[in-house]
Amino acid sequence: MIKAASSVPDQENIEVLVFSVQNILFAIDGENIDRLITLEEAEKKEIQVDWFHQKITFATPEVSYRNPRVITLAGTENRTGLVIDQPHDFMTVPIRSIRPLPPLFEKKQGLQAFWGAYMKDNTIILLIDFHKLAG
Amino acid sequence: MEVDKGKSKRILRDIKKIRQEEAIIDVDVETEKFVIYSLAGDLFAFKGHYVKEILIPTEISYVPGSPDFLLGVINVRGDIESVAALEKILGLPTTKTSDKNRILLTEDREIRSGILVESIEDVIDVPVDAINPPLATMTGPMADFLQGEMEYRGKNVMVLDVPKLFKRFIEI
Repeated sequence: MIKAASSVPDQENIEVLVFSVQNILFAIDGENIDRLITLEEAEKKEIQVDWFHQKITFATPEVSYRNPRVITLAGTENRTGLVIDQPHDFMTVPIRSIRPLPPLFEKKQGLQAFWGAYMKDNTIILLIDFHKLAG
Repeated sequence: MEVDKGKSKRILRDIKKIRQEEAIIDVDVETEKFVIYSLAGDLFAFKGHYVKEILIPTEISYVPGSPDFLLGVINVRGDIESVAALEKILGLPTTKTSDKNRILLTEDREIRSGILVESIEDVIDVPVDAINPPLATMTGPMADFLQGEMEYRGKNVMVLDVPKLFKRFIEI
């Protein structure tokens, strides 16, 4: 029997860590995250950290963090981490429901770390490529 | 009595002649559709074929790192569309927020974006010859995007060139 070619991705869902900074929701693919630790733990382990707002420019000059946590990039020696704010939980996102960002965003410098968006309860969650952000 | 063999032919010819004389010469005036909107108290227009939809603004989600003129993204029936603030490109004051605000979902080739405007004034068909070329003396940021001018209810309307605006959107 000949199997018909399918456009369905091998993987149907991804697990993402949702967090918010300045009341904007972001998500990072869980496979890219090695650890989720406190700032104190990061300091003890001598992990160099970058704050999220240092990597992504916000419109407001002051960015406040209410519940900062450090995530470390999987596949590295865990010597660098990224400080995010208010990690919610891991969430399952069906790949089919991920939308690309509009063309004007795709073509902009400084926005390459965003690779798509997902809508949950009419709220837009911006998907971030942790490797690009850390790079 | 002699039979008039050509009678019917003659009658038909006469009828055709009468109809031709009575015929109203219908002159087709070439028109084009325009969407007229207001921004900072002035009237502007886009050619209608660039405007795919007129949307009532919903929550615009800001995307950090985006340039000033990009206000963010909106959800349009499950798709994500960008929203641009035209006044930032044209050097006009910020759009006043009101329930009359609308988003023009505008498209040219592979680029599509919402453009926030103060209000929609009208969608009309305008004779092509009623569009005047822009004033050669015009200067400032707007001059780069002005395609023409026309009159609407005694007011001047500036017709903006969507492809040129999109080109600028990409360059910034």
